Amino acid sequence: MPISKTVGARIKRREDPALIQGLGQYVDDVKLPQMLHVAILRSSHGHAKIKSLDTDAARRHPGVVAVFTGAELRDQIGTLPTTADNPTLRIPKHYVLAIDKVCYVG
Amino acid sequence: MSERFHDITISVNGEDVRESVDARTTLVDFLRETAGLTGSHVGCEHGVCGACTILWDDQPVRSCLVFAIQADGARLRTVEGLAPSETELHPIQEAFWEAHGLQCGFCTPGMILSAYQLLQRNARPTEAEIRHAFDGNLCRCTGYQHIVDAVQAAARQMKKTTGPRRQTAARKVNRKR
Repeated sequence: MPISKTVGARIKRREDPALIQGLGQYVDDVKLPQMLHVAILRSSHGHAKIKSLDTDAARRHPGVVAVFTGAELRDQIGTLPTTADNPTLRIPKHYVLAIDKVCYVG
Repeated sequence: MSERFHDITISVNGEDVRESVDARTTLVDFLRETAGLTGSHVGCEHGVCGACTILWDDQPVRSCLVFAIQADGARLRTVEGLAPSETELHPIQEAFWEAHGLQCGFCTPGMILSAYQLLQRNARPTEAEIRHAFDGNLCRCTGYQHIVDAVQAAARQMKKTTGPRRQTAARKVNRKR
C-alpha cells in the first residue's frame, strides 16, 4: 500500500519520455555553433617512456586548430584536482595527459 | 581512383534525406549528423552492443557497420519514427516506461527497435525467446529483467489492440477425449 504519493507507490519516471523517443541529450548529441572536435592520440605501447613527441605534421594539417601535449597542459593547467586538501594524506599527482611515461594503456 | 564523395538519398522515418557524403561515413554518423537524429547511439563501433540498431525495411541493422552510401535508396526507421503521432507513444515505448525498462537510456533505442522487430515476427514470445532476441543488445544498467518485463507487457498490449483473439483454434487443441 502506498503510504504517500511517492513512497510505496507505482510511479513513472520523468526522464523516460525523452529517452524512449531518442530525444535524450548525451554528450555526443550536443551540437554547439562552431563546435570543435578533439581526437586523443593513444600510446601504441602499454608501459613505456615518452622520449619525444613530434606534433609538427598534426599542427600543419588543414582543419587542425590546436595540438596539446601533456607537458603543455601541465604548464598551463597543472595537476587535476583529486580530493580535498588533507596534509595527512599522500595524494599522487594526476595530469591531463601523460608527460614522461605511459602505463596501464588499454 | 574511385570518387570520395557520393550523392545519396535515404528515406528516414518517411522523409528523404539527401546529402553528398564521404564514402567512409557510417550510416549511424549519417543519421546522427546529417539527418540530425541522435536517438541512434554509438556504443562500440564494432557491432556488438546494439546501441546503433535501426530498422531497414523493418529488419534490425547495425548502423555502425554499414556505410551511408550502402543505404542509398533504402527505407529506414529509427526510434524517433516509432511513435504513431506527436502526442502518442508506441505501446513498446509505453511498456518500457511503465516497467522501468531503462535507467540511463543509452541502450534503450536499440532495445525498443529490437523489441519491435521481435514482436513483428513473434507476437507471443516466451521469456527465453525474448532473452534470445536481445542477445545483441547490451545494457549496463538494468540487469535486463525489466526489459524482459517491458517486452512481455508490450506483447500483451499489442495483442489486445490487434484484432479478435483466436479462441476457436485454442479450444480445439486443448480438448481431451
